[in-house]
Amino acid sequence: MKRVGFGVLLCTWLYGVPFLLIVGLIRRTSSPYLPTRAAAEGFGTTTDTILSTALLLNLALPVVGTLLAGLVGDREWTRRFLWSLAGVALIYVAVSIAGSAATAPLVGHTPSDEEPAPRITQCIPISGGRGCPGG
Amino acid sequence: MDGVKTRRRASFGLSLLVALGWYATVIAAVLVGRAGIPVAPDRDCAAVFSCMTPGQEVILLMIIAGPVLVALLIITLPVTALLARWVSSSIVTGTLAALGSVVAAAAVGMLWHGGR
Repeated sequence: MKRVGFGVLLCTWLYGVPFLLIVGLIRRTSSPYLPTRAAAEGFGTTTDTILSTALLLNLALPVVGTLLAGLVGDREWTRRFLWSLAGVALIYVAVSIAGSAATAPLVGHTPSDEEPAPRITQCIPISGGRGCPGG
Repeated sequence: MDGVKTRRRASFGLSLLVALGWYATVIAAVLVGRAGIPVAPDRDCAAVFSCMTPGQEVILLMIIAGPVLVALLIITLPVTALLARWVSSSIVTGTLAALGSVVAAAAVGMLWHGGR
């Protein structure tokens, strides 16, 4: 029972984190069709949630596993989870390389939308600056 | 720790499972990621295969990528067997085998493509 729990924890980290990272990075690098500003913000927020969840789980799962295995006194699983911390570092390095290749921040980026820019309907003249047509 | 005792070897079956898990994870992640991206409703769908639903994409992928995947699995077997002799961890072996097999398959594909 104990071993199964640790195995599930390790497998969740091993496959779950790369899964979320790939999904998030595909969304982040795509050019989706977003008709409104709100849709673009919604899409960006979901992408951010996926990416930050992946980055958080990447650290949390192995650390929790190491602590739990240490608490229970399972040396074999403690060793395995300690080794997985090397994988954690590798994933962070890979993500930071991907992040440095992008021009905008990896998390907290809103994709462009198709909403037309609001038309200027009112002209306010500025003295010494700009005049208004017909005024 | 084991000193001069015989070095532990990774289990071949477990390593293979880890490698297969990587393939499944990456394929599933790409499909899920692509399915979540909204596409414009007024695209030009005149060209063949230009507008496909995710379901149709999966079918086309299976037809095209099926042989590639089979080749990848065949390459994975000896790579895993080879790595399992040196690395004692099944997880590391499976991960490296999946990576190495993809690299090997890409190299074979490029050679085949260039040789034609």
